[in-house]
Order: sequence, then C-alpha cells, then structure tokens
Amino acid sequence: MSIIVFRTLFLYMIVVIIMRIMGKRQIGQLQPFELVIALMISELAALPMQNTGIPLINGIIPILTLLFAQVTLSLIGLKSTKARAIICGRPSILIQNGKINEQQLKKEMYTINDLLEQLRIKNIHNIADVEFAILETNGQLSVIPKSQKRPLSPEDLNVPTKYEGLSLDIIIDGEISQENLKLANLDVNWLNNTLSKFGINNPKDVLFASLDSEGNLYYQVKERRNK
Amino acid sequence: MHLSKILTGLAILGTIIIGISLYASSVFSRDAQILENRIIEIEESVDKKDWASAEKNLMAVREEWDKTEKMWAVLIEHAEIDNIDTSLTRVSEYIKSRDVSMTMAEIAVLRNSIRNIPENQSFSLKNIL
Repeated sequence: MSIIVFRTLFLYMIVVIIMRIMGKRQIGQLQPFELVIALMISELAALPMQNTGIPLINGIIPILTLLFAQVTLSLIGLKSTKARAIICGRPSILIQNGKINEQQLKKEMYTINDLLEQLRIKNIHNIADVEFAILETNGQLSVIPKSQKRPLSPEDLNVPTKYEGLSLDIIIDGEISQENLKLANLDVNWLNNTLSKFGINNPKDVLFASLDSEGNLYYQVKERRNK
Repeated sequence: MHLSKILTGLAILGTIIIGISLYASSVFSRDAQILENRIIEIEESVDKKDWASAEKNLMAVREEWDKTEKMWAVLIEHAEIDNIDTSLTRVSEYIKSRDVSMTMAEIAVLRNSIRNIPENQSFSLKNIL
C-alpha cells in the first residue's frame, strides 16, 4: 500500500511539473492538440499509479515524450502561421454581417441550437442582434453585436473619463508586498502612517489592502480584530 | 534568449528520452545474451546427465539473474520478471529430482522468456504495430 501512496505522490508531482512547463494555456483554453495531450497524460499517469507491476519509467517516459511533442508543436506554431493553421485550425465565422453561414455550420458540425445556446450564454437573446459570431480554435464562440445593439460607452456620449490603471495589492493576509509598494513609489512608513489614520497600528491586522491608480487605499481588517 | 532556452531544454529532453531508450535496449540485449549463454551451459550439463555441473551452472545463472533483475525491474513489467523467477525455480526443482525431460522443457521455456524481452523491447516495425 505504501508503494501506491509513494507512486501516486511522485506521479502527481511529475504531472504538475509537466503541466506547468507546458504553459498556462494548458489549464484553460485548450487547443485540440493540447486537449489530446492532457487526456493522454492523465491516463499515462493513472496506469502505473494503480498497477505496481508497471515500472514508473513506463509512465514517465511517455509523459516526457508528450511534453517534448507538445513544446515542439507549440514552438513550430509560434514561428510559422501556416503550421499554426494546420496544428490549431482556423477560426470559423458562423455569423457574417448578420447572416448565418450555413456552410461553416455544417463544416464545424455546429447546429443552430448550439449557436443559439452559446449566444444566450453570451447574454444575446436575439440572433438578429449579432453582426459577427466566430467559433475560435479552442471551441469558444466570440460574438460581436451589431453597432446599434452594443452597450453604450462613454465615448459614444463624448464623456471624458479618467485613467484607470490596475490596482496594486499592498497587503495580503497581513503580509506587505514590498514589490508593489515600490511600484507605487511608496514605502512602509507611508503605509504605516496611512493605516494609523484609520486606527490600525499593525499591518498584520489587515486582511487585504490595495491601492488604486488614484492613490486611494482600500482595506479590510481581519475578523479577529473586529471582535 | 527565451527561444534559445526552450530549444536547449528540448534538446536536453530529446537526448534524455533517446538516451534512456538506447541504453535500455542495449542493457536488455547484453544481459539476455549473458543469461542465455549460462543457461546453455546448464542445458549441456543436463544433456550429459552431469547433475553436479548442472547445479553449479544453475547457481551461476541465479547469481547473474539477481544482478540483472534489479535493472530489468526498472524497465519492464514486473510480471515478466516473475515469469523468469518462476521458471528458474522450476528448473532448480527438476534438477534436484534428476528429471531430464522436464528440466530440458523448462530450460527451453526459460530461454524463451529471456530471449523475448530484448526482442519485445527492440525498435522494430513489428513491435510498433
């Protein structure tokens, strides 16, 4: 039994490392060749995990070979647009200028019901409101509504807007992010002074604090302190 | 810079994969040949009904197998190793009971089991398909 425990932990570690090397796309939006690799790796790791009669190397070598193949294909795709089209495929325009492209639907084996379902998921309840619908290579549907149906933006109303940058996480779980403080051209003294204005003497009592692009500090103290 | 790192990583990975495959293949061929030669010696002794020599050669095979088994266990399914172990035990018992025909039959099985391993692991169209 202890062998199975050790093998499971070891293979789990290997698969986590391999998935990390394969990149972030592997976790979310999978291309067809990446999906195949994810499915195969899970099977390859599970076999020697359950069956102690199979040497670990029989699971590890195919996983490493798949890593090699995946990285090579990604690299080829990165360098050549033609190869990328072959490996990943091309996006298909299912609705073009407000008209459903029947041929593309048939080619992708995508029914009208699938299309309507995806549009509803995207909060579009009337197909007549769609200018373009594009089936991406990872299977997701991108929708561009007709200009008269898209949400109003400040630009449409000629309303000037202020710059909105990313807010910086300054304290997470009581720990100060020196890196983000430095990015904001601030230091711990400034943080301590600001917190003390709110009656917080120790940054460790703060659950989360962030700084927006206007220099406003948002914070929430830990529950223990509130009691 | 990033691309060269990836290419270096790929080259290292490719070398590791091919290196392990070639090493495993050579280990199987070499060890199987050594074991088979020793088994042939047992076969000849049994054929001459020289049981003392057969037992001595069997001991040599067992010693060689103990060394080989450790490396093979890392590379092939353990069931195949168990088959060879079982066959060796049978040969040992048949030699003890001085049974020529049974010993010869089991030696043939043992030789076949050992010969099959490098054959099954070799890079050939038959094995790929």
